[in-house]
Amino acid sequence: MFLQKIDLVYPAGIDPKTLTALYRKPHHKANTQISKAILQLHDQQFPSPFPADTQALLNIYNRLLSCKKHPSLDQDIKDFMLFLSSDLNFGSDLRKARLHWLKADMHLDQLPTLRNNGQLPALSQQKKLALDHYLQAYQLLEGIKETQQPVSIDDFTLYKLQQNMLACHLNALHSDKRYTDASLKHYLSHSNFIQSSKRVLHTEPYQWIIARNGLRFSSINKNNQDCDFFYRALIRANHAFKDFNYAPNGAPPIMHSAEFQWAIAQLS
Amino acid sequence: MLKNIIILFTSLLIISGCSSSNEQESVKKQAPVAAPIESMEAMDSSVFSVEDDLNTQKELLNKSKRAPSILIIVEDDDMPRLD
Repeated sequence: MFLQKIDLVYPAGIDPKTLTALYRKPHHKANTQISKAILQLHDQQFPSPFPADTQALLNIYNRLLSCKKHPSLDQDIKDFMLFLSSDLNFGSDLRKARLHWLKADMHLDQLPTLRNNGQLPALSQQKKLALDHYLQAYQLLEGIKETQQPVSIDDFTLYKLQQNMLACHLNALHSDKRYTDASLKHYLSHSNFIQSSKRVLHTEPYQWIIARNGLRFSSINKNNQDCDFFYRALIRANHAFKDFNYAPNGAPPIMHSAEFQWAIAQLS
Repeated sequence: MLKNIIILFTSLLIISGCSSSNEQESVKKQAPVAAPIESMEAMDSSVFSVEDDLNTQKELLNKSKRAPSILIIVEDDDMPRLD
């Protein structure tokens, strides 16, 4: 059934073994055509609740960002931001929420470079802007969810925004500061991020990224019980994570990451 | 003919003589110079400082055995954004 649906979006077909490997082994990276087919099928089965024009803007930005050889990359991103600053005031709350989300993404993406270059005032400014826009998106979507409008906003969508807000705090810091930074600890203690992660894992247990982030922040919080919970969830999502040196696609091994060291010491 | 052989032989002798004198000079350059008293004292103090360093390192090692081991930080593991 699933293979038939894949054939509809990708007539060349995908070998079931390839699909199994991509599902079972998170370090496997699909080629461009298979990625495109799977994403297309995913969009058909789980359509985005956001207007198509906002999704198109997000896609344009992502493609621009991934094209490092683009000759006027910095200027085009600045122009894009200028356009968004004006455009996010128009349309439905759902549209506004997605555009605030996109603008926040653009500020968040600048943090690692500013941090590594030691540009502290600009780093602080971009972090604040990213957090402001994510918060506005979150409040708009919460409002939509509570009023039970025709468009449904699920827990996972809100979780994504929470995770991105946490990423603003975390990515603004060098690894060696992440155990001790007051603003990160303050945000963690006043947000329900850990509880939200547990809730989303209950409905989507194969999401190893959520389990990995839960383990990371339980380690920073030095909470033994939560570390144990998220480590089990990580292994349930994929057995390969039993090895602390396992590197999934898009993330380093937890053994190499400073934030996980407290958790590793407890779990070993 | 004989004259040419004599010239060749003489020039060979001169060349070999030059190279042997260079070897002697290079041997002289490589030979250790007698160290004055001050430099001997300096050497002694440097030996002591190496010993001190070793003691410090041993102390640090002992301390690190008592403290929980922290693994080496390799990279910043940044969180990717979710959309």
